[in-house]
Amino acid sequence: MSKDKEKYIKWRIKLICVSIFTISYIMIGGCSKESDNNIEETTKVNENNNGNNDINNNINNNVNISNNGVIDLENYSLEYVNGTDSTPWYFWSYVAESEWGYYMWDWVNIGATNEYRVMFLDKETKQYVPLCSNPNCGHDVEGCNALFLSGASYDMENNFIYYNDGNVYVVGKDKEDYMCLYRIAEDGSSREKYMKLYKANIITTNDENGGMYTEFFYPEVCIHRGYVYFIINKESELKIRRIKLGEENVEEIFSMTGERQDLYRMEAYGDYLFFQGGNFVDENYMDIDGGIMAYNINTGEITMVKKGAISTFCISSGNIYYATSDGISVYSLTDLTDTVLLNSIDPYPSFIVNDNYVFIADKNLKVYDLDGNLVRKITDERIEINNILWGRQLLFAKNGETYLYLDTEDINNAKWIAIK
Amino acid sequence: MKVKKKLLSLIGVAVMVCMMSNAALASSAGLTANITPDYISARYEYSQMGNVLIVKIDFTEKHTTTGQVHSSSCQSSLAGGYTSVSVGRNADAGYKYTTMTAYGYVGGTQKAKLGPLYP
Repeated sequence: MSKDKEKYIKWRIKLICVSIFTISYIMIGGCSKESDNNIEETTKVNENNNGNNDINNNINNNVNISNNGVIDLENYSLEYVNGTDSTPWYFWSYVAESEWGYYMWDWVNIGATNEYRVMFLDKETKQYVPLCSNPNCGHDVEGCNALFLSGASYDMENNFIYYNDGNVYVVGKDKEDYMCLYRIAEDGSSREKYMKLYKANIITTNDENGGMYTEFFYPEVCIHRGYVYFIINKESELKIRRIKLGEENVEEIFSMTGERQDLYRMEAYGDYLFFQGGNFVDENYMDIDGGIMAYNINTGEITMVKKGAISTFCISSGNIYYATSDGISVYSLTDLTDTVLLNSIDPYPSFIVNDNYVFIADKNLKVYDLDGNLVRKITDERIEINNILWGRQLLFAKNGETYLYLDTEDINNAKWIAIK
Repeated sequence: MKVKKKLLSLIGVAVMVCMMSNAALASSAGLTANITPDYISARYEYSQMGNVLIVKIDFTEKHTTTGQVHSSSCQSSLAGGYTSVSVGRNADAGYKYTTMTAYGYVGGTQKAKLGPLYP
């Protein structure tokens, strides 16, 4: 047995045993008690950095944009590396994936309140437990590694969660209005406020009822091969920045220009961070002149690889599958050919592609093979278009407070199953 | 006849409960929330004066062509002699709301929560 597998079995046993013991303790003892372990929020931050709404420190403007549409796939790769790479198939979802399981945001009723908690779903057993292995922890009070209590002034971005190199990362705004990266060990044994990314821009106005109205936007974040990449939404000049995990230097790798800017959808595949950017053509903010760009994480070179692809996309086997105004097309990054995969379906559909199928949210879930042939329609009254969170082998969806998953391995018999 | 009336009123209550569980409009423990594709709102009522009341909405909105998702939070707060606080927001240009979760706070303590709700 490999050392990694042995390590996994030992910590999985530990996580599940602690949960079983804790449940038994509560049932026997009748109540939870305040944990003896206080979370020590370690901030590894240089307080001089990120002190302004716009980051002014260590900006690197050495960005060269090539428009010839060709990226180097001889010396660089799009291949996924387990543990260190971003998992773009869970984009804008509540779910992250490791080799052994899934991490997801969930809510728990604690008295009269409802609080955020990070959960772990084991790939093999489908056991669903809080991501906390503190002894005697009831997972319902401050001190629990999985729990983010609203009273503790966390504002958590619950459609962002990442697994990277043995840790689970989540984003939240602290009580000093810094947007921070929190990190939980993959076995639930520790948690820390890991990094401050920037000071959030809080919009404050007096509302018509005499009260104070405040508003802020969460960033878009991507963690990939040792870096956290982020876009501060609603900045006057949109940028992609990156910070090496655990460090402080902020690098600006791309900056938008022009009016009515948009910069979005960072998806990292191997040596490239793909993203979309453009300018809305009028005040309706509907049509956008933009496309998919690729940033080489090693050389810093940026290439516009597919102009006009402004909506959902994913990359599989060297192809960009991208949504169009009437379907899905495929652009090859190797021979630079463009073909229509599906047409006459809803405009700009939401979809995902794995090694075998294209999954489209079209009233329900439609499954096509990679030649565009319909394989199945999977209907379930609990599932709506906006509830599907996508995935790879397992697709996830959320119906209210219930997670459901669908195992795509046996697609002909696949069905949505509730986790709890 | 009395039994029939009772049965009808029970059915009526059940229908009301079902309607109130409808995603667009819901209420619980003094907190009322509403979501349509273009507008979200919430109102929190608390009977005792002299507290800071906060109503907060965590929401996501999705662009109709790019599919970009904004994840954000807004709130209104009132201090002192008020028994209710409200907040409302139009979707950003080009965007439609997809989810919202509303919270009511008294003196910084969460007292009520509704959601996630869908249009």
